Amino acid sequence: MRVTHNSLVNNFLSRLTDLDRKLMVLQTKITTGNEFNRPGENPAGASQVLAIESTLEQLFQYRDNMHDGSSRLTFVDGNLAAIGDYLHRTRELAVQGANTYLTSTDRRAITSELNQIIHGVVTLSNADYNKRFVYAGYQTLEKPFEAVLASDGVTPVDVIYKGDRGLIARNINMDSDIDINFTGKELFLEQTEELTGRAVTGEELNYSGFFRINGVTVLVNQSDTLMDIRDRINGTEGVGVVAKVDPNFVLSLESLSAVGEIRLEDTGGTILEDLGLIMKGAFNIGLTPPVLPLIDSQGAIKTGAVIPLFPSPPGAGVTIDDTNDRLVLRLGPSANDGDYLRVAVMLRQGNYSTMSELVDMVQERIVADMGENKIIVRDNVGALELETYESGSSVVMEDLVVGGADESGNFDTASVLLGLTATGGPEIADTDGTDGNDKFSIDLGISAHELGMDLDPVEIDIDADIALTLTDLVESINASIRKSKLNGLVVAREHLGRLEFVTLKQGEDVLGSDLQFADVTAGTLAALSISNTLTPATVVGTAPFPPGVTITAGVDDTFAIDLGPSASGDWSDPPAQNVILPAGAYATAASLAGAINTEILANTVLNGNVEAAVVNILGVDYVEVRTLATGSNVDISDLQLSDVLPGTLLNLGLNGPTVPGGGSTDGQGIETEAENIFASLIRLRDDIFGVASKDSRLVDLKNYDEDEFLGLTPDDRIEITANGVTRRLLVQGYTTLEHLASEISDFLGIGVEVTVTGEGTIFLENISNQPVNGMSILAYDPTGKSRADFGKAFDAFNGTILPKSTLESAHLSDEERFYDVSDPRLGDIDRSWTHAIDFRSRAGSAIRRLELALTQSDGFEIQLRERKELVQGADISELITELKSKENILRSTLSMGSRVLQPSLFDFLG
Amino acid sequence: MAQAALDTVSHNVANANTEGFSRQRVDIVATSALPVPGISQGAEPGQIGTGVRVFAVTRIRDEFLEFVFRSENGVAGESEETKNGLENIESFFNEVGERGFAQVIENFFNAWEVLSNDPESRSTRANLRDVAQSFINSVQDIDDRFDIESRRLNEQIRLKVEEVNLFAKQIANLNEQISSIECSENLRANDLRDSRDLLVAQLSRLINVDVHEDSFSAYSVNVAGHSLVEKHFVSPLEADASVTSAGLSYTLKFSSGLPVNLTSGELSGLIKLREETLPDAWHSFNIVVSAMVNRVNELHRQGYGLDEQTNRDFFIDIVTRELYGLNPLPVLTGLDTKLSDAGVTSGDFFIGNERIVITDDDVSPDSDVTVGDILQAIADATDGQVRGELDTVGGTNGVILRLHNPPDIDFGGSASVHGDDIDAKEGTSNFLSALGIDPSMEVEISQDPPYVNISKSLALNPLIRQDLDAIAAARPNEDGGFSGPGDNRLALEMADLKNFREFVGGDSLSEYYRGTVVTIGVKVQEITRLTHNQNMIMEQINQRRESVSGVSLDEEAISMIKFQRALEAAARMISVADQILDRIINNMGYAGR
Repeated sequence: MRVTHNSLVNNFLSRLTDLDRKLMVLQTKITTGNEFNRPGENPAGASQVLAIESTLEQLFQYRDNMHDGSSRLTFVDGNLAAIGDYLHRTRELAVQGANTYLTSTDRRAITSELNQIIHGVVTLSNADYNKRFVYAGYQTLEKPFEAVLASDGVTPVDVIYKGDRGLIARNINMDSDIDINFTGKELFLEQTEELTGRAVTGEELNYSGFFRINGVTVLVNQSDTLMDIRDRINGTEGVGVVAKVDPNFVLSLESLSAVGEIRLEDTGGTILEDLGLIMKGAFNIGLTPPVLPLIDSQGAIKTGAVIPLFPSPPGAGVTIDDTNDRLVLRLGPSANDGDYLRVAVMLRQGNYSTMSELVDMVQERIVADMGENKIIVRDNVGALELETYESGSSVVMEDLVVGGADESGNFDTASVLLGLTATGGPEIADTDGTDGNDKFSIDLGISAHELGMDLDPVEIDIDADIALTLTDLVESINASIRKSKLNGLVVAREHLGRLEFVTLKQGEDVLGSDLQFADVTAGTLAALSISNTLTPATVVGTAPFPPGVTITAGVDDTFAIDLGPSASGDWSDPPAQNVILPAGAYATAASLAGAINTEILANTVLNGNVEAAVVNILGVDYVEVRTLATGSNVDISDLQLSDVLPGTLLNLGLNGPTVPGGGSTDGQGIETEAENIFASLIRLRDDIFGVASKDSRLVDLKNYDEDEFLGLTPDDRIEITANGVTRRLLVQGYTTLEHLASEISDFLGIGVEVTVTGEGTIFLENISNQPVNGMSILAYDPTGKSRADFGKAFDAFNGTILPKSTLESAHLSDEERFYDVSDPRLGDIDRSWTHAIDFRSRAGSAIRRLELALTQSDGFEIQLRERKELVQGADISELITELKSKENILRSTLSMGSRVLQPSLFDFLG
Repeated sequence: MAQAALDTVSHNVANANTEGFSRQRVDIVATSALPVPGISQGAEPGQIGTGVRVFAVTRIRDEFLEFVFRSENGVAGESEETKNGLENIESFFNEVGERGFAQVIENFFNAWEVLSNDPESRSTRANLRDVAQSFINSVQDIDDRFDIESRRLNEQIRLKVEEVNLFAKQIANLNEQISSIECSENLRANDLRDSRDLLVAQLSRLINVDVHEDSFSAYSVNVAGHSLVEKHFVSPLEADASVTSAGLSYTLKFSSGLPVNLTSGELSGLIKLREETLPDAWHSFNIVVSAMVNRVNELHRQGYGLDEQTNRDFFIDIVTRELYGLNPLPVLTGLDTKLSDAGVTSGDFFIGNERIVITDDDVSPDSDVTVGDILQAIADATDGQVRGELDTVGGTNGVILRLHNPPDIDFGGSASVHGDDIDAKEGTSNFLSALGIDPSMEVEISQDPPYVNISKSLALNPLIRQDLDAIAAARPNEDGGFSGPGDNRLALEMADLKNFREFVGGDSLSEYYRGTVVTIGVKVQEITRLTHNQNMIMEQINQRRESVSGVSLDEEAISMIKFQRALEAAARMISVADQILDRIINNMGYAGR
């Protein structure tokens, strides 16, 4: 091959360039320390390096998370240690109290220290880490615990939790996280009652009504959904619970209070039962003693038991009219040391003007008949209530069975008429123009009279001048009743914001029709919205208008109306009558009702006895079919609709439920108690060291004797204010302290009792389970002038007036308060302490887990870095050696090049 | 003769380093011997030679080597360009370094972790916002680089085409000269031929060529079966410019209008880069970004901010359609150009169902209403969905209408964006046509190359930019409401997104992104190896070409001496002949005197 000069040059040049390039690569490797710096140099390695770097980056972040979580948990741990110290000290105090005889001064000192401890624990429970409250769940910016103070401004009587159950987590690696907080709920209020209902799934209520939670009334409306009900509960002030609906449409109530309880009462319907919050038959609500309220404040009889007892509506009493009334009680094994005990309690004949008299009598009889007291009897907001002494999760509800019957065996409530719908009171016009009063009459029939007499109608005057409020109206009507032959036979009362008349005679023979009203002055009944009738039998349609219904010709166009005796006008039982509707579209409810009415008018049997009408429910029109005959004798079963051509009723939307005239009333109150740190502290203080306090006193009376009349004139008014609501009463001449207590009780919906202490001090006491806020009583004369002397007699409190029950032991004697170290109440403290220690150990184990994970992550990091180094790292010594050898090659190449390139033959030619 | 040979040696030595020069050799032949006439013939053997003459000066050249060289040169050019382009793309992501795009993504998710550690705080939120903003900046930065690379490629294509045409023209000129010089067999325009061969060699680096010499010594240069140069005729390649969102895009075609199929050469490399490699990488990048944006938004909408609001996007504003106005507006006034100056007439036109009215007053020369005002009216009428901007890219200065609309992206396979149309319609006003907007020329973004990514108009939700509390860290509580400031569940889920296995198709985000980077890396590695090999091959061929055609100075020196000696010898012969004649003429015939 020819080798030219240029080939030598080119060859040399390309070798040199190649060498230079290699040297540059080597230098880059040495200066960066990396085997490669661009993905193109080593794609597989680059992929690994990218993955390792990503993992490392995450690892650093996870480590930050772990450090953060660890320091938070360490903080919580220290906090829990301090709480443990407090509980330890509490136990010392309790043991000290058990082993020595303590004077009341000693007890005061211990109580005071316990109060300090409770405050201390509240402060600790409000601990914040970096301004985030650690026990608040997700509500980290708001103090989670608030102590409710008694009226003395010092004594904590309850602790309210405002946080939630939110658990906060930290990611500690790709797949797992760790919770770094405890919520105040689980830590301090562990066993606070939570009621769970199994509710109507997304359906709507088909009635309106109300119920009470912790004595606070919650109203629900027809067509409310579960969510609406939840919002209504949460939107009601003072219920003390948070209502929640979970994705399975289960309604649950969670108590916000440390020592509180959730009290549920159905007060005229089955709402709670329908919501599943009250379950019949299968009670097993944990740690609380079973409680069976027998009669609620509306006189309803509970749990299928039939008890001839009646509570006292204002002004009336309870009469047990013969000696055959009895209460049959059975205690099961769980409530009676493992044995069944059955006893019949005879109820003494007589009049009981207050509930407490009745309670006392029943309690006395139980003790007498059982030989020992195994059942607590009490007045629970106007309802007679029985409770076993035994409590605990082993006590099941079935183990307290109540039954009973009188001779007739049935005790239906007497007829009820509903009147005014507005609480604001009606305008009573002076329509007769004579004495300023309007009149109507009440005609009581045979069945409603004790002795079976048929009384003539009695005229009732209504004072047009004073009937300003519904309460005033009720008072006015009752005043007239008391002055008449009707006294003791019928009473007017306020019910669900409406005027209601109740006959006091009861039993299945009492007919609704035996309580009849008539106008004396025309229009009075209408003005009072008193309907002389009970609800007509009604079938309400379910199809809303719009969109309306369409009847296709010849297909679904005929149904039948079958009227029974009570609805037929002449007590005949006519055969079913077909209603044939013309085909076509009925866009409005009125058009469909009109078409049905056309048919009815043409039918001699139906005409005058039944009609179709339009009802508007929450702004939507529905068609309903109703009887024109009304009264208690009209049975809903006497209005029957049936398909002649299948599907007609469905098509017309007339397949709705039949709505009976009166709702049945059976509900159950559930009393629950909380077991938790705060509760155990407060209970220990109150139960064991409690010192008499006037906190449960609503009104202190300075100048009156127990039975003395209040000394006001009949035209005076009393103004009672409590819980931010004011109510005015017309004073009756006969008003005694007992009456006043009853008024307050009625007004507040809580138990109020006249209490006389051994020293002769008289006060009205809050014997319910709910606190009352800012109570005051004032009196005015008829000109509106304040009766200062009356006001002076009352020493009302501005603060929270606690229920007597929370301070009940204050009234116990010293012997009763004595206890030893085996006392279960000490066990509460022990359990709370164990609880706190348990959480501390949980915090500790979480910290350990985090520390372990941190150590692991350190190891992992080293591994990763090693792997990265292995993949990407350059072997410097090898590189240097290579560089050296390349450099040598370069040197020799250059020196050779200088020789080779220089000469050519020309140089040697002469 | 020796004189001519020495001249050639001198020429060779002088051009020893001239590019494309082939050494030349003097072909000499002996002249015909004298025939001996009649009677005296026969006494002497042999003929009397008459001497030597130069037959031709020829180039030493191996045509087969040239053919191999041309085809390999094309491959070398292509691989070189491809390597450059790929290395550029590789550098966009800046990976394996400490501050690559992977790191930016990592930072974004880590910021959510930091937020989850303290969801109540403003500082962790501010951190997240800043990190998200830097993510957006990175996205736009990388996107810009893709954009610039795309423009560079197009510009390169245009320049290379010009170069091709220039070469073609020069070859045609040389063809003409050579043909006119080489009118007989032994007349060779050696140096012109060298120049022409050099041009062909250079051309072969740009484009795949096929060369034949015809009977008139002219080169016919064919590209992909079509004639580029024929004798002294040139059919130049044309680079057809079309305006796209990424600037001007050039399509190659012959002057006859037929498309050019390139198989090798720098141009081929550039076009493949522009049409395959770059869009593929850009597309992958866009998938990463759009998957991020959509997944993050999807989750973020479920969460609650500290302001107790929900159902808000984290990122916003993705352009799905574009419509270009091809009539440029005056550079100085831009969108402030008055309607009358832009030649707009009054009347109405439609964007979707929205009717935009331009009154007679608006278009009067005294009116202050500008093109920008009408674009604002479009934006107002469409709730900001269609927005007009000035497209200054590449100095076009036309109006561009963009449809801002969250895309519905199917991550299963190739991305497809389904936005509504801009749906512009001309009414009685010529607004659209005055700006050169052809409603039928709507471009669907990120479906057909060139890929204009969604990243261009990617932004943080302004709500979040204004109010840090709008960042959602909380999941709703069981009632669907705001759970509380301490709730960090959504932030944790967001942080976990980075490990979500189904982020893009069946890959997690980092896996997919890694795949993208590695794919380019593998290509770079491959092309680097190919380029290296090709260079070796080229070196080999050049060696061989050099060994055939190169000037060896030693050889020339020997030739020089050789021809010098021949000259000297010939001169000596002449003086000998002279002495002989002198003897005969002057010193002969004394015997008779």
